[in-house]
Amino acid sequence: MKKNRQQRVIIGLFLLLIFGTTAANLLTPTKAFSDRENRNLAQMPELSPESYFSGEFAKDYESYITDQFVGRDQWIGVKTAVERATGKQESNDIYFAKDGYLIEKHTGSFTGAVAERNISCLAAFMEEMQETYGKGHATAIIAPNAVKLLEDKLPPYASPYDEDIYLDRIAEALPEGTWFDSEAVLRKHTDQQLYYRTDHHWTTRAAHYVYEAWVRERELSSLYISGYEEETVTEKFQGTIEAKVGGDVGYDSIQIFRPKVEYPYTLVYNRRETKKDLYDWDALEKKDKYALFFGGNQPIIEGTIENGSDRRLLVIKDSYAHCFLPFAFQDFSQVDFVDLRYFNESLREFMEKKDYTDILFLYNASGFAEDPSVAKLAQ
Amino acid sequence: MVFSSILFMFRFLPVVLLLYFIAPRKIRNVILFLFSLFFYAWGEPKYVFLMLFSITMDYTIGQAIDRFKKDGHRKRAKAALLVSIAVNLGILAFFKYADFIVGSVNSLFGTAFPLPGIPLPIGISFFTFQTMSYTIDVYRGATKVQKKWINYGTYVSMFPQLIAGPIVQYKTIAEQMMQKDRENIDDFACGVQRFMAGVGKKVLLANNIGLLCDTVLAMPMGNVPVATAWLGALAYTFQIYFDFSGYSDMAIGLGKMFGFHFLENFEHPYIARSITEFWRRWHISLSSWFREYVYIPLGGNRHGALKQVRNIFIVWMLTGIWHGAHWNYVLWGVYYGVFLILEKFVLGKWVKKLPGWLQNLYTLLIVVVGWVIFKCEDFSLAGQWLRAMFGANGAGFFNSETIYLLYNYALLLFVLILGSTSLPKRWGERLLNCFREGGTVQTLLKCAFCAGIFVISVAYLVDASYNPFLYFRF
Repeated sequence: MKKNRQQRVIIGLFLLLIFGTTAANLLTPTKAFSDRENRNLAQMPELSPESYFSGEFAKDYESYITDQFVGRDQWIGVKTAVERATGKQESNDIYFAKDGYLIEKHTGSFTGAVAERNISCLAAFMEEMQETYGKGHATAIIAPNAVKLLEDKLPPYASPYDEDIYLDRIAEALPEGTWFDSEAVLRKHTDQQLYYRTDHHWTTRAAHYVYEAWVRERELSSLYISGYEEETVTEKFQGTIEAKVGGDVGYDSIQIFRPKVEYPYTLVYNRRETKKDLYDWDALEKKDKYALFFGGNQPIIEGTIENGSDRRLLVIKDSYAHCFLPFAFQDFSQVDFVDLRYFNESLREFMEKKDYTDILFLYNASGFAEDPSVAKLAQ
Repeated sequence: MVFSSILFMFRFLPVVLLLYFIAPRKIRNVILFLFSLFFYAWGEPKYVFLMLFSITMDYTIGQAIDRFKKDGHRKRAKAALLVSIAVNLGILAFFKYADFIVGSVNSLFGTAFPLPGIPLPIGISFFTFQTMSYTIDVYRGATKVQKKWINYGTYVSMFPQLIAGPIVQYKTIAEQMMQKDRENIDDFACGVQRFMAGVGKKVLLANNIGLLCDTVLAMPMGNVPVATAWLGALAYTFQIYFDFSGYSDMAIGLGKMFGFHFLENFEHPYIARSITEFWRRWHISLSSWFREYVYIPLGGNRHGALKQVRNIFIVWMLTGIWHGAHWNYVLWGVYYGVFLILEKFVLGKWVKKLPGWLQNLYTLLIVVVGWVIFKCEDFSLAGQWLRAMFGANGAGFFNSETIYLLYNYALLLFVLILGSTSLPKRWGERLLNCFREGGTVQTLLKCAFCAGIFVISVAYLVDASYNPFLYFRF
């Protein structure tokens, strides 16, 4: 009789777990968007004979119930906690590094076919740009990722792919005078916070160091760091890496650098919308606070600045450029920037219509190595 | 559909449990049959018709054999059996081995026949073997004929064992299939614990050590030092055992919930002290199938040593190729055939004289090297991996990455080593025996075990982009 009671309790618990979790899932309303992961969540797929027999429905339905699983963020936090408790120094390709840094490992990013092809694409493009715009007027900056620059903070004996090997190969492939070594600049400042702890971007400060060094090398006049006022705009930033591991990982703050002398500017977003402020202050109320700069990724933004400069810059970039570009507003009267991932026009035709004096290609290393749209440089 | 998924645990299982247990006993087999078909059809609906064809054919042939035997037509019964075997093997050859056969012909004769490229029906190797065991046993008189198509269909398609075994022979569950009161609380509670143990083995142990194996395999094998190469091979050794035996545990547990008793499929294979013993402990349902339906009918060991060697080779070639349509599986099977023959005629006596731990080491060495062959469909990768393991690539003994991987996986490896022995089971029983049988403490311990695995496993499943299932290919 006693034995029987024990079995009933075990069965009861099991049924409670299975049916309880199922019920909780069915009763929770479907969400359209995950702020944390910054992506649309899968929705209930449509059932039709075609979608069923092709297996499409099954696949989509499984993504739907996994994406919509009740308490998804907490479950992922539990997983990370277990992982850390068992002595693992990484989870989902992210290192739990010193001082609260979460550092992406970028496994496989630099050894794929895209990484290979992008080097030759960029080399051909820079060759052409230097010919068109003259020596010293075409620059490529590929910023190293945290995993390279903060290698001292990695767990002991961690040996991720050495980004330097890849960066050196790019530097070698590019025509002379077009490569700007941002890593060397950042190395001098490793006592400062150069990367966010919870996000894959570099900080505004890191971007500033690189910008300063670049314009100095190019002999453009520029304000020095004393010419800006640093302002912390939020201390509640949790970026893209945090979303992948969950749990209690702390917050970052975002700084902006306001020039002491600010020139008026006009920004045209995607040929439609005109703005007078490069900062999208609403973003600070949302999860993706890095979108403070220019409202996040945009296909094309054209900026006209009333600073009397006779130099006009086109930047082909990824999101590492977002905190870098405001500095260029001091030295160029025109700053346009194109994101190849979303820009669907011919780059050549676009450039011919405009009268640029300088071209800058600015990406982060892993972003560059993984981005198939770099091939659009040939168009 | 796999058991270790959100879909199975929180959609399929609750619905099937609910409908099965509120249904009157008479129609429970029908419900199990329908749900099993749905389970099989999930994601790949066309092949459900192949399975229904296979079920109907062997059901009909079973009836025919029974009729012929009763009427004294032995030859006709035999002919019917041969038809069943031929069609089953034909289905297997066509759906599983067509590409392999054509590809091998092409490379042997330099021809260029196009590969048929037929997608593999899930679990085909399992259910064709089950249906064959039925017609053969009916012919031999080892089991009674099944009169109802539904019951036969339920046996073949039964979702707990459908896609990855164990290979349940019809005679094992023939009686349970007809039994009116097969489900009971004892079995259900037992099944729950067994199922949760299996989930933990698969999701927490196998998947995680699989990451280590993948990490090592992602390195350029020519530069991998000895210790790292071994770490990768050991990781795969553990992954495949905990993956597969975890799946068998889930299958046996689910079977018990519905009142079916499948035979055990694994008995701590890695503590074996010889290769012969290893194969008595590994994937038992497969080796017994081959022994019963191939090795013994071929004459087994009853016609002299030469015939026995021949028979062992045939069985192990087949065992190898059963695991997948690639030459590495054939090599892997033959590799075991060679060691089994060696043990039988030469090595066996010597191995027995070694100290116990050396016997273990000898066995494990052969098994681990075997898994390297098994894992690599590409022979050159297997070659590089083995060269790395034995230091032939000149990449040294270890490097900083080895240390990193070691301390990252130290705890998991320790758990896996322990979990490969019978110690956890014995310790668990001893712990439970400290308390009153059926008492509160015992109940709490068992509940904590189930709930703990449940919570952590669900966390991994929700997170998991990483939930591959190894035995899908077979």
